Amino acid sequence: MNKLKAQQWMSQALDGELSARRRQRLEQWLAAHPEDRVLWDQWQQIGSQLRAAVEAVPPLRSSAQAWAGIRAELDDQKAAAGAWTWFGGRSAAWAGSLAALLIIATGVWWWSFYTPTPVSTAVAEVDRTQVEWIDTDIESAMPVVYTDAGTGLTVIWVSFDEEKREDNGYAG
Amino acid sequence: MPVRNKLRGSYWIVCLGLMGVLGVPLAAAQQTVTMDVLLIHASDRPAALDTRLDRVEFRLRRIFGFEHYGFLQQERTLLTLPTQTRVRLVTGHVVQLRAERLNGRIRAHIEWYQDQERLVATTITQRRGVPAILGGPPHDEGNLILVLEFE
Repeated sequence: MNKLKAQQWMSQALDGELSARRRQRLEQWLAAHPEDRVLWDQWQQIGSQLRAAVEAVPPLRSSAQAWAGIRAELDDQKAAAGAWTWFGGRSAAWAGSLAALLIIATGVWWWSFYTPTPVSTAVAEVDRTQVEWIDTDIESAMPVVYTDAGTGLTVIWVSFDEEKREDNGYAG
Repeated sequence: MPVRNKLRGSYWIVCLGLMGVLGVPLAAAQQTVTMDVLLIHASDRPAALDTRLDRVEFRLRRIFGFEHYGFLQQERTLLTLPTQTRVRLVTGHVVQLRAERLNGRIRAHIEWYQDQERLVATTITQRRGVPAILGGPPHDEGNLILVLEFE
């Protein structure tokens, strides 16, 4: 046996693949070669550390087990959300939005109903109707022109003296 | 480049053409107005509200002191200015009107007749959408009001 062969047998022995007869010969070699004994001890130590680390990893779950776990977790989350949904969940957000929309709609309706429409606002000074002249052929009538302050509208009104017009035979 | 100059020239020709095509009807539209004549009977006799006067009644109530305003007639006529027209009222009156455009407004000469008798004659200048109110002729225990508006 040489040094290389000894190291191959050491590796096989650590993997449990070395026969009993060779294992015995390896022990004799290690007893005769202290430097290889040190190496053997180090390899054994590393092997035991690796096995300990592998044993610490939890065993792999099957896909069915994994899905079952996910489902259970989702169910837990749904149950937790359902318990406070009316106080702060998604439904509360919808309800809040709906309430805000209702308030705005009511405000707009109120505003449009109780505030004057553009038609009811007074006509601006520059837009007012201008009267150049006014006349009537009725002797007993008196024409008047005035602009109503509230509406801004120009009124051309002819006041008729009813008695005089009846005397003149006006039917009205 | 000559090709590019040609394209640029064509672009301006198309633009001018479009302006012409769009401009002609626009100018024509500006000369066309809708005349809205609304005849109202105002009296102090109690009567139900006339919903046909919703657009003007609240204004009339601010101006006049009548108890009731009743709808008698409404005439809407499309006019191309300048023009003259005549409206026969259901009360037997006739309103003659000459209208023309003047500085963005409409200048209207109005004559309101009862038979051959001229009850009112006036010349006014008004803006589109601003009604003028003529009134006074007695009718059926009340008075007639004519709301004239160009739209």
